[in-house]
Amino acid sequence: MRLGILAVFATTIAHAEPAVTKRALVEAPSNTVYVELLGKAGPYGLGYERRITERLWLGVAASYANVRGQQIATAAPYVHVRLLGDRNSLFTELGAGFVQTRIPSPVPEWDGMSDSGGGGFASLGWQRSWTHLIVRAHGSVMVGEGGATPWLGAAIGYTR
Amino acid sequence: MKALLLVLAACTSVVDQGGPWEPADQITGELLADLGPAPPALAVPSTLRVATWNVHFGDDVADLAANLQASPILATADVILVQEIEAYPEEDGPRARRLAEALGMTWFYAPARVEHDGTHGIAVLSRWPLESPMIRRLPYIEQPLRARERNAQSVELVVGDARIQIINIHLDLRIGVVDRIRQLSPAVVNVDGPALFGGDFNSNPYVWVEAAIPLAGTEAVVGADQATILDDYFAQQDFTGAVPTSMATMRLPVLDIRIDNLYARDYEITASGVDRIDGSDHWAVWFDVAL
Repeated sequence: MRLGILAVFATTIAHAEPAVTKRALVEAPSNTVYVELLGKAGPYGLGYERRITERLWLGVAASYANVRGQQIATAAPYVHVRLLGDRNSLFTELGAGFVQTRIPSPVPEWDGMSDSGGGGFASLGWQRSWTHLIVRAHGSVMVGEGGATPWLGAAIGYTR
Repeated sequence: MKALLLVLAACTSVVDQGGPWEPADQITGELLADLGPAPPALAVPSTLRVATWNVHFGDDVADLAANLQASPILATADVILVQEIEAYPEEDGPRARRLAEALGMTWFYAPARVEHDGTHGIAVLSRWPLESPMIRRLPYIEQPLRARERNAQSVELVVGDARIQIINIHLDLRIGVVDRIRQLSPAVVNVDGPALFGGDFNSNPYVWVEAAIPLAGTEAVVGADQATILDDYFAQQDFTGAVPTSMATMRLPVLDIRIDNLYARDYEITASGVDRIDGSDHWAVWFDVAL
């Protein structure tokens, strides 16, 4: 199941048309910082992307959250590929996810627990770009020790 | 969008630490408990079969009874812990009483809250006499959506000369594991010695953001299922669980989650399983313990 998802994703990237125009390539930003709601880094994410080639960026998103006493640290390195379009564009992302969670005990009779895990994700999304601003929304499949699940995210970022 | 913002802005908090164990006969008013008479005497067995089943309101008592009687495992249960069962004045007695009578058992119905013009709660059904019935109001967890009063009930099962303490519980649904243990702990900590514990722990896999958004993506990566964490909590209280987290207890098309379970302390579990009984959105968990 997981290998199948990754295979479909890889095929999609390999056969994607180089649809970004010459004008867009010249103007494509080299660096992006963004804030994400839900998405690849859990409840939220702070992310950074660096352009590597005409259509490909490398990025990482991370977060730390204390959700009702449960501490969750997440990091997600990934590749971001623009598939189609310019100011309105279709993109895909493929990456890894690492989560460390700690559950301090709220009661004296229990020691609490901690756990860590790793997995991966594949996303397909839409991006709207302005001069220095981007807005994204995407759907993902997250896979890991807990199985596979669909997931959503939205981001707003600054580019330069 | 406005509703989403309201949900996200709302705050989940523990606003009430619950109450102490109270004798059921001292509770008056709308949450009056209902206790059945002692059942006919039986020969003392070498093992005791206990089951727990969330009956999803139990509005068709005859259907519940028929499903229980059709199950080779559950038809022979000595004790059935029931959750989500209700009582309404326009009906011919509390549903727990009617279900117990249909099965030839006695009962102890413990309402947790008022529901419409009736009550909603949990019950112990038994082929053995029940003594010292107690009810404990659990910590109330305020939530943006559908916060509920929850309770636990404790009773001593009289099997020959033995007194076997049994606790039944039903916890909140959309809460994280820290709040779940906060809500569970008062029903566990003051229980000394041998005991059987069971119910609907609602131990879903997720971390919940303000009781509204399950962090399914995080759970997929780390796999920190609440059921695993509850098993660890009970293990530290010297309880052994009936079924592993891989055995689903809820009738869902995609998710395999174990949200119900039984635990035993100082009793050997000789057999256990999940019975995929019809009549509810839950399946029943059962175990046999050596006496």
